[in-house]
Amino acid sequence: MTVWNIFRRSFGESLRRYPLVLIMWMGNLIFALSAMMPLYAFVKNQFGHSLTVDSMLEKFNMYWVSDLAFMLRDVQPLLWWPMISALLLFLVLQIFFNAAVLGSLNAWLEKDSLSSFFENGGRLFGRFFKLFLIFLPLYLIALLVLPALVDSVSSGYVERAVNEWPGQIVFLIKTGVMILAFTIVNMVADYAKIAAVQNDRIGAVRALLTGGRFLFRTFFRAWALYWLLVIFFLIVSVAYMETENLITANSAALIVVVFLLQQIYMLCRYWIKVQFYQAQMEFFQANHLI
Amino acid sequence: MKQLYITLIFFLGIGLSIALAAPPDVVQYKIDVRLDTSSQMLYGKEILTWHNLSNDRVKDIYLHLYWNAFKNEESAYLSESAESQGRSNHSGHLDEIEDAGWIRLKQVTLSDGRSLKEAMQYVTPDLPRRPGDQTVLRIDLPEVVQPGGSVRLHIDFEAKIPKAIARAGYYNNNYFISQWFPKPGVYQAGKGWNCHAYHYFSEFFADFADFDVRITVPQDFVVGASGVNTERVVNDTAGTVTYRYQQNHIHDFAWTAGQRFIKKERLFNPDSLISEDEYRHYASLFNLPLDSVRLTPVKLILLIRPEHENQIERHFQATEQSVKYLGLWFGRYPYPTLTVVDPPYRTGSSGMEYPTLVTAATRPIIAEEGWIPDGVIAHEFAHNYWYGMAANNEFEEAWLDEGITTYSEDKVMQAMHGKTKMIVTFGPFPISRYFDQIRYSSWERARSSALHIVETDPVVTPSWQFYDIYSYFLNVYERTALNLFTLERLLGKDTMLRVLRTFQSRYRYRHPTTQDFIGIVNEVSGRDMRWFFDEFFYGDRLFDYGVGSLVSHKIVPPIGVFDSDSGMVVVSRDSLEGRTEPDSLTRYKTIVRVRRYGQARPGGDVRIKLLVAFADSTTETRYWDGRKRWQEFRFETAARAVYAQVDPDTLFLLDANLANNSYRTETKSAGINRWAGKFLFWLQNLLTIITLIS
Ligand SMILES: [Zn+2]
Repeated sequence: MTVWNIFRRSFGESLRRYPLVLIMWMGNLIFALSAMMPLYAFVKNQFGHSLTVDSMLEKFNMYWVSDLAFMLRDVQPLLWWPMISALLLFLVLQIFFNAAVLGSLNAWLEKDSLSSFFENGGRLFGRFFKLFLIFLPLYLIALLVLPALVDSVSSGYVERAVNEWPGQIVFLIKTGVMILAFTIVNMVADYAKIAAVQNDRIGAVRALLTGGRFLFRTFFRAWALYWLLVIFFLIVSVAYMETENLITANSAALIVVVFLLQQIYMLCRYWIKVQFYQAQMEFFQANHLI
Repeated sequence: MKQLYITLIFFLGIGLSIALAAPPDVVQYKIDVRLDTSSQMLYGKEILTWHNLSNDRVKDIYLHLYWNAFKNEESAYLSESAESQGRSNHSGHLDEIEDAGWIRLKQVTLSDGRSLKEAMQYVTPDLPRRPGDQTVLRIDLPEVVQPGGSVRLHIDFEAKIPKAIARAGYYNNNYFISQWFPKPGVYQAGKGWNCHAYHYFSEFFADFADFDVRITVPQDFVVGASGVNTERVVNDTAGTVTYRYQQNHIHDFAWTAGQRFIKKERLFNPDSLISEDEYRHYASLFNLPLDSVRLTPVKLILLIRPEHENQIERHFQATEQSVKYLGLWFGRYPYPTLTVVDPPYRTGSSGMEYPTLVTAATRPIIAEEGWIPDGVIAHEFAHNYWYGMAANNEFEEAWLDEGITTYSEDKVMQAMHGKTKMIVTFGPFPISRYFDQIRYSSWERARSSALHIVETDPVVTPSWQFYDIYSYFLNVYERTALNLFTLERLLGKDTMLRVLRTFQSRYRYRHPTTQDFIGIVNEVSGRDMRWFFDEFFYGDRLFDYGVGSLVSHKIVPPIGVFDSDSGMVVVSRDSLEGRTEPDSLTRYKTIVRVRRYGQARPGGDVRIKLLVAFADSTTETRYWDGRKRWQEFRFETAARAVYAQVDPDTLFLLDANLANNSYRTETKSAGINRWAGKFLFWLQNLLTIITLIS
């Protein structure tokens, strides 16, 4: 099966599995809502009776932002720490979701339900968490070590520069290297997860090796599939931003429209996440030597 | 074989003597300096003549030797830099020892040849003392300089150019040379020499002077400098070229040299940029004859790096607009030339002001209407008014130059582009597509940061005595700009322009102080505004007024036991039931309590204004002196109150909380929900991005 065919099939298949998308989106929404609640309550309390709320309808008005920043000047840690803990908590939740989604996708004959979703998540969570711990240093290498390496390799070139371009070019190369390395690590991690789902008996390390071996044989096709999905995601994102950009007025109805649009975009993000897993799983199944 | 070119001093013929009303220059410099690019050295011969214009008998002279700030870690500059980074000694600037800079006086003699070598001593006038600092040198003179007399020093100096640090230095064989020559402090009659050390965050102070400087550089170097280039002498044997620059009535001299400059010239032609109507408008505004608001041509010289060649037009336009508006507002720019330098890469010299020479700052790709480079050029050129001509002591009262300049820059940017556009960049690329609707006014920007340091230091604080570098920058730039925008609203835009124009013309070629500025404000406005400066320039207290509470009720007859001619009358709640009055007779009682949340208060003739708006579209206005902590206002009206607002015209931009200035009886949350939705969305995206690694 060609990469393009897999992409097309996964498109339809992931749409069919919309309950998985909905559950992940709901998790994200509820989590974000509860994380922002303290700030929302504070703003409502401080601004609700003020005429300032009218200026919040403008595209951008710095007065109230400055007011808010000044009100929060001494209590920022009160906001940051819950935010960071929430992020970590959400990370764990997402590992569970990944396990649940991949488990459910693998059991494609079963009908999606909340209980099967959680059953799959619970069954696979341990191995997925171990895989996360294994890949964490690889992500750090991709996001921190490699860019630092580019910096040190190019420092002479930047140092001898007579204008800002070498520095800017190095920045762009660094960003490119970071993105490439990240996508590779991310792809390997995906196939390791898929290997773990495909074979209930193997542990995290063997899953990693299986995924790695698989990619060793199929790297370029797998990578092409990965980027096809990334490009699809980018197209959806640009479409969202263009649509949002069109809305310049701020009537109450339009605020609702924008909110709905944003949530549709979030749904798309999770749908594409499911599609990622679906496509890569199909690719794995089609090319894996048993 | 020497060739001699005498450049004609272009169209004005004798462009060097300017402004009839200017006082005589205090100092005369004749400097001959050679740039040695192999050793990064300057070799200079300076003849310095200092005139004693005071009635004091002066027995010594103080010289700034600024580059010794970069000599070793005992300098005030490097110790303060290290301390401000929370380190003990190493600021990091001298990690490569060839990065150091210094200046050494090899020989100092009087005109008769007597050496003053033995009479020289480094002094540390500022507290806390840094005994190792060598940026101020005192020379005891063998004879007293009598009032009206003068002293002439012949100085032979050599200076090691630092690797780009604090506005000066070299990088890759490109040079920006500022604060480089021995320069006397300012002698203040009755008080003595004002000559501060070079501090980590402070700028400079010098007397007006007549400069005649010869700069020798390799032949392939392009040079830009303060003043007018009057001579060019090529020496083929040495492979050098010597440029001569002259200018009087300026108090500093900077220059740049490098191989990577495109040099362009253009004439600022007021006739094509300013209409008769504009002249008439300002003539009547300032109550001046039409001819005295007219501007004169200026030769604009742009030194720009080749990679910014496509920005030449943009640089010239920003310069022309700055020369136009600042000239119309504050009086004509009197010098024949203005040199704008797109400074050599990494010489740390961007965005700096020198008399008749300013440095810009730009990016490889610039956005339309962005602050870069227009705002930088407007700012640095405005400094030629506030620092250049009204030459305050930057060490002691930095707000007078930086603050008024920031305010002026904001006015020019407003005139050019309206509100400032927010520019977001990815690497070299501006991404304006999704952000170009985000615009903000200068006072909004100034307020956003200024509020945070009001309670840290007063604006009027010696530069090196601010709590930290943020307090210095935010106080003298942003808080001052915010204060001036507030003052503009209290006085009115026209009066504010008259204030600044009067301040400029009264103190041009002089050294004004904060008190001088206050004097002009009071004189021009005809009001006593001392309180404003006491509170917001010398003070460090937050200003915050707000509506504490607002209640508005229908007036109902009271119940209870009442005396009447026929004895006691009982009015019970029941007896009132069912009694209906026509709507036209219904009255409402409204009680507003206005609070002073901050410590700062208005004074003089300024009052806090309270506006109450009612459901029938009527309004009531009250005024309060704002002295007490709170004040109650009562209204009996035909309609219920809808909202109450203090300072409804937002005169006090520096109010620390504008949200509490108004109180509406019903809450509205559409705006809050809009931003909550946006915030939620970003948070949701953040969560998905972070969990890409899961
Ligand atoms: Zn400035």
